[in-house]
Amino acid sequence: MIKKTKHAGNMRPMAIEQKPLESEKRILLEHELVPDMNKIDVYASKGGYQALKKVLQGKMTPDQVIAEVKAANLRGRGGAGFPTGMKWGFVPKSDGKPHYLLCNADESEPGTFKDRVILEKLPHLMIEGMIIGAYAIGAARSYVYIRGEYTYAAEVINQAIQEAYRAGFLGKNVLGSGFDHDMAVHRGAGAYICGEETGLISSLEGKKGMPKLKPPFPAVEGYLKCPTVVNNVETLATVPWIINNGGAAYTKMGTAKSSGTKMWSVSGDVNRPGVYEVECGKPFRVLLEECCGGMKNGKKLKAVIPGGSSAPILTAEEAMNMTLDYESIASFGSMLGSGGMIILDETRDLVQVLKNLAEFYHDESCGQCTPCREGTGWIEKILHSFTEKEAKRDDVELLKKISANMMGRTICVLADSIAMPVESYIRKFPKEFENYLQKPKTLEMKQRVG
Amino acid sequence: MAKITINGKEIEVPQGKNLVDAAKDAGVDIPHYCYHPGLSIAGQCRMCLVELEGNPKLQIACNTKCSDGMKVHTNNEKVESAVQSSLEMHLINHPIDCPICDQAGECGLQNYYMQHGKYNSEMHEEKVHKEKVVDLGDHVVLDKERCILCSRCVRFTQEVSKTNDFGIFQRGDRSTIGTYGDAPLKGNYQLNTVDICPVGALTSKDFRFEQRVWFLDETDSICGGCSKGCNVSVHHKKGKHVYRLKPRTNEQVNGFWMCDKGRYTYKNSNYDKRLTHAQLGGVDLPHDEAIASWANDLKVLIATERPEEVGVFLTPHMTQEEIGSIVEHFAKTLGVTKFFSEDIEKLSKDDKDVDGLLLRSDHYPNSKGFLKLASSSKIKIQQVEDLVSALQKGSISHLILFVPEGDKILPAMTRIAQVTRPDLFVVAISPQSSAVELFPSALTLPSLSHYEKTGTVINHAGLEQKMAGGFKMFKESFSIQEIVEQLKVKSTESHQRERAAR
Amino acid sequence: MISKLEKHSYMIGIVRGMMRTGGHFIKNLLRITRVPTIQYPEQRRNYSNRFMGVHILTKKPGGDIACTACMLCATNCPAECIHIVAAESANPKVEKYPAVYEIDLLRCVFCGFCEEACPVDAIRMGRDYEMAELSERNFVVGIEYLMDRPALKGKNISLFHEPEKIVKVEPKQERKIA
Repeated sequence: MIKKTKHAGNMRPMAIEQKPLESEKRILLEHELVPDMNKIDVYASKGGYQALKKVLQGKMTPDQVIAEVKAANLRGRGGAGFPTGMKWGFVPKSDGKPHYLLCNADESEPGTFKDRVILEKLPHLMIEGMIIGAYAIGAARSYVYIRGEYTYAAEVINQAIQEAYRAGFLGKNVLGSGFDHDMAVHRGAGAYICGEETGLISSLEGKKGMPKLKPPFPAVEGYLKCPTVVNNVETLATVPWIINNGGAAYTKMGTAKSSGTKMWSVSGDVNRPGVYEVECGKPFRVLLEECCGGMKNGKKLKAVIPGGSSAPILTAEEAMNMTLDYESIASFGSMLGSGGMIILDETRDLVQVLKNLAEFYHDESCGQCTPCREGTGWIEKILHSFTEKEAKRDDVELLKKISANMMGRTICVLADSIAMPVESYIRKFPKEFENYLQKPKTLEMKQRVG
Repeated sequence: MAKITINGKEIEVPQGKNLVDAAKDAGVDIPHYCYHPGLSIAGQCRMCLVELEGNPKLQIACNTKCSDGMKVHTNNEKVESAVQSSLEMHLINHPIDCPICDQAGECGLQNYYMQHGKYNSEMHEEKVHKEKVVDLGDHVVLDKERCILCSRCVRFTQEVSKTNDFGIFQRGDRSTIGTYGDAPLKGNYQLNTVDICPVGALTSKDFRFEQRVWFLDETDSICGGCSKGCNVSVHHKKGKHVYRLKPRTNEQVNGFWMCDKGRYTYKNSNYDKRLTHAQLGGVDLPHDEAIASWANDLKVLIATERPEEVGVFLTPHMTQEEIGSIVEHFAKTLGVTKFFSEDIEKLSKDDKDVDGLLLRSDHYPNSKGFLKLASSSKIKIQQVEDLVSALQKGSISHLILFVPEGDKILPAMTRIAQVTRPDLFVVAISPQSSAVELFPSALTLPSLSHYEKTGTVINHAGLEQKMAGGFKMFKESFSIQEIVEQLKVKSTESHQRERAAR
Repeated sequence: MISKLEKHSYMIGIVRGMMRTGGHFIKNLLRITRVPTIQYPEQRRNYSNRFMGVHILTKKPGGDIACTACMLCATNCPAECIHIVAAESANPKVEKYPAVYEIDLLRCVFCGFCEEACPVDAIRMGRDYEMAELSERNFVVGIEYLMDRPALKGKNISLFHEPEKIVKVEPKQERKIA
């Protein structure tokens, strides 16, 4: 039974009633607008669970499944972009321990809401992908770790899992193949850090959501010290398509290194914010102008945060030159991340934006590693002094120094998630910070102790 | 074995050894707070960052296992600046109240600031404030503000003492160490959390504000609390007052830890409990005279060939050397046959682990050695009850009591005191006054307390361990070897005088 | 034989000495205002600002002792004349305070190292130099004398607690040694 929480806004389904656009390439969201797609019979009538039948009744071996996913060059859609097939391949074959597949549905990166569409509208797509993935890594149990605020989605997933049990896709001896699989939903309690692979595992183990030290990697020692694979919702939802159509067909879409399609959740100053599935390698202009209908109120584009709030910012010029794939965005010093794109127009004050982010990351730091625990708080305090017009000239340098010292020095990447924006905002928009600085005449040397 | 290179120096270490430990053996000190060789690896203080060749990012040494061909740099500019930055992060919300902090002088933050810091702080925002002076039971005081959240204490109570007292509450820079509802700590190993705390967050109530640590001298010794023989370091000020005991690392015996009961055994050494002067019937007299009057009484018995009327009571709260000198002089030279003690054989046979960690049931530090010496010199050790009945029969006219420190001996002493006739010549040799007070007319001689002694003790497992001792808190207290020696000298002196008079 | 003249030749010295004494006597009578002796205790000499006399323990504005019993003064003291016993304060914000703070003025060499070591301006070198006593024991002075003696008139407030009163003196430029 799901407890109703106070987050009223999330208890209702998402209201995006939008016809597929020509510039989109929908393979995941193909049937998004079909009514009652969350019901198993509607899903089955649209070709659902065919991939699972192909795997289990067509006697594909786990290695063949992994090989197919490897051939598709499917990359993790959660943020890091690690090849999924390779991740599955790391799991030891016969070690006598139970294996686990965890679906990371703790979508809490600010600006990202793509998984929510799948969770609420296409739950069986994800469940099918999870069963195939679990079969590939030999996991008898899998969990959907869902963000606490997604109460409606959790309800949908729970119902879908029960339907799948009734239909014989879950439970003992799935489709007569001899493969047993159980699936359960675990709701998070609202911590951003539990969306991090090992933080999620800690939380699922019943501990405080703190990322774990690597090595050992989860594929060797994860949930309950057993081999564990953690995949994003979108990644798992892509798997049935790849099994149905073959890895080669998937690589035909997109670029050489970023194959297939990517779901983008666009928010900010655009006319039609929403979730769009676009083939990798399309220019950013297509997403901005054709999908989102251009800038709101005809304002000029100032900056783009391409992959969730932790991605370094891009200037308008850089954004217009980039294409929507991992490599192109990386070449501009940012990252595709989770695909949570935030569009900022010329009226936006980037210092305020950064302060807002800093507040978020300060609040969400788990407090384990010193540079992150202390650094996030310090950055927030300094940015606060900017907006209070109390900052001093050397505070910009100090921010740079702190962020440089946080980068890559911690167990997980939460420190980097604030360090990278701080560094990129200052580097790309130095004027914004200068505007907030005090006039030099009021500069006062304080004696600093300690 | 694996060959690794640290700062250009090639060393050979066992494959898979922890890099922090391996570097330490090679004389390279990698700074660390959260790493402790006796605990699991947390990897969160980020002080032990080192550069491993072929790795673009700096790595933490505590989670790095040595492998062949590894090339490590710990002192290049990149590492130094990373370490300094980690230290700075530790310090930005630290209250820096060193003047009132007991850890000052042995504080990880102070030490590493002098080694790797020496920067001017750029933190001029308000610090995060947390609770101070939190009472955590009988032994430990917590200061949440000073805590650097290394989680050593959390891991200690989870992994070693298994009391699971500590946890980390809140998150981010609001994180605090604490117990649930500020509940008092449990168990007999609480003060180890104070030892492993690299800063002044956990301090000992017993030592709180007693002394600044830089005034303390250290002397290696063996704990006198039980037969485990934990290696300790005695912290005293110029040998005049003992302030605390800290465990010394010995993987064979106590690892890194010691129990709280053992820690408080130092209290028997200090002034308020000690016998400082020789006394006869409660009146101070010069040490020389005291020894002389003892020698005179003993001489009469020996001269009239009645050594069987001499009774010697001794316990294993003595070093091998002390017991040896007693046996040598009284049994071998004087021919005394009546030696009494508590039932050491039974104590030693029933000796067992009390809590599965360190503390053992036999409260004497040298029972094994005592039994070994008794059997090798063929001495029959009788029980307290045998002494009582001998005293009642009146077959003993000269009783020598070597009374150990501590309260555990008091029942036996009270029993003996009850049957002691006032005309019996009793010599009580003890560091402590409490047992001796039971014999108001006795000749009492102050001896050294356990931690002042130099010598050997044998623990429950038969391991011989040395106590360095060597400091003396009171001028007129002597070790038992010295007292026996003085007795010998006085006996021969008076002998010679008599012969000369004849 | 010694002649009478030789016998009384010491008179020459006496007379010369008397002349010297008398000369000074008359000289001082003539210019009496410039005599180096003063009418102590009614008159007192002006000592330099750097004169280091009996120590002062300062207070917090509320009247509590400013000393935190960190014992840095005792650590720094070359004469080992400072004896402090620290204790737990009833005020949790103070935590530690000196229950006993004694200075043995007979051992003290008035070097001022304690003042330099103090992190909270709790001990200062005062300007009192009159410390005659009848017994050796009286030279061991405690908090009552060091902090609350009438001569201080309660003005000994620690600058650590009144930072606005700190007067900053620009350091003179150091001469470079070639």
